[in-house]
Amino acid sequence: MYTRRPMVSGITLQKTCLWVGVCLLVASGCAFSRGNLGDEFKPEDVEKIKKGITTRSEVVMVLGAPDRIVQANGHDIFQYYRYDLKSGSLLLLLVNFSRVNIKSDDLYILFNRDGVVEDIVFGKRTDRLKFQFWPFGE
Amino acid sequence: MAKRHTSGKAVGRVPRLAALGLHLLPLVACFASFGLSGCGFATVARLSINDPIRPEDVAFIVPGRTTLAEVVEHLGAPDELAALDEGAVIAYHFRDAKYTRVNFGWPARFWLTVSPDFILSAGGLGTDVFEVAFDSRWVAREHAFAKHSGHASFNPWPF
Repeated sequence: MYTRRPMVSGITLQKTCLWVGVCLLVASGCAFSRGNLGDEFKPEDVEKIKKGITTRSEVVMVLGAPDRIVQANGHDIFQYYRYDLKSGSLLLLLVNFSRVNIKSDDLYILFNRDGVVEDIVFGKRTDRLKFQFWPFGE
Repeated sequence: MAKRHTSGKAVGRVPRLAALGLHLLPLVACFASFGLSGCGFATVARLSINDPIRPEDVAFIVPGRTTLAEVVEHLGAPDELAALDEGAVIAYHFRDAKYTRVNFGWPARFWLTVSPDFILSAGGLGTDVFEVAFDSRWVAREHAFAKHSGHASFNPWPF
């Protein structure tokens, strides 16, 4: 039986080469930069904090002083946060594209009236932070 | 939304947003320098802080039923937590700034000895805050988008 040979791979390769060629011709430079605020939360440090066991002073020993202390619903709440920034720029002859993405990690530790950890709320967004230069779309 | 209780502990008196603004100032300055750099005919730049939250993302929240743990499970940890007179409120901040700059005088540098500039530029900052208020048992009482300023657009026309 005769089977048509797929042309997709050939066309894709041609298109890729064409785009790379165009980029090399018109790109005058590119730039990547990164910045952050605060220390990264180490998973092993967060795991050391146990509900109903760890005390306020032990939390401070592991994570340091909190960035904020909030009192809500009869709880003392320690808040720790961290920001990460990734920026990419594509500098073409005619047009420059640039995008800066910033995300944060937040850790909340709720204490009961005895100063023992009652709950932990941890959200990590920075692992989804990407270098992008294309400013359109999502 | 219920009125916020502003008298927290000493450290908690610094609003997160104000602190955030101070820390992000150099970052925004970097962003501006990208946008204002004089290279090329046009510049398109964007600054995104956290992922936007859409109304459909928060449709699961049922006042009187949904707990803090369920909200955190769906939306992640909030950016801010503040005390209310009865209960607490959490806030998710997300921003999206867009900037476009076109220098219509740029092509003239190929045939003139001087490089004249005729620049049109415009930008916008879309700021949104999603807030959920909880009662004393950490059950959602109400929720709302605090500011819905619309989306910034890539349009260099400043007039």
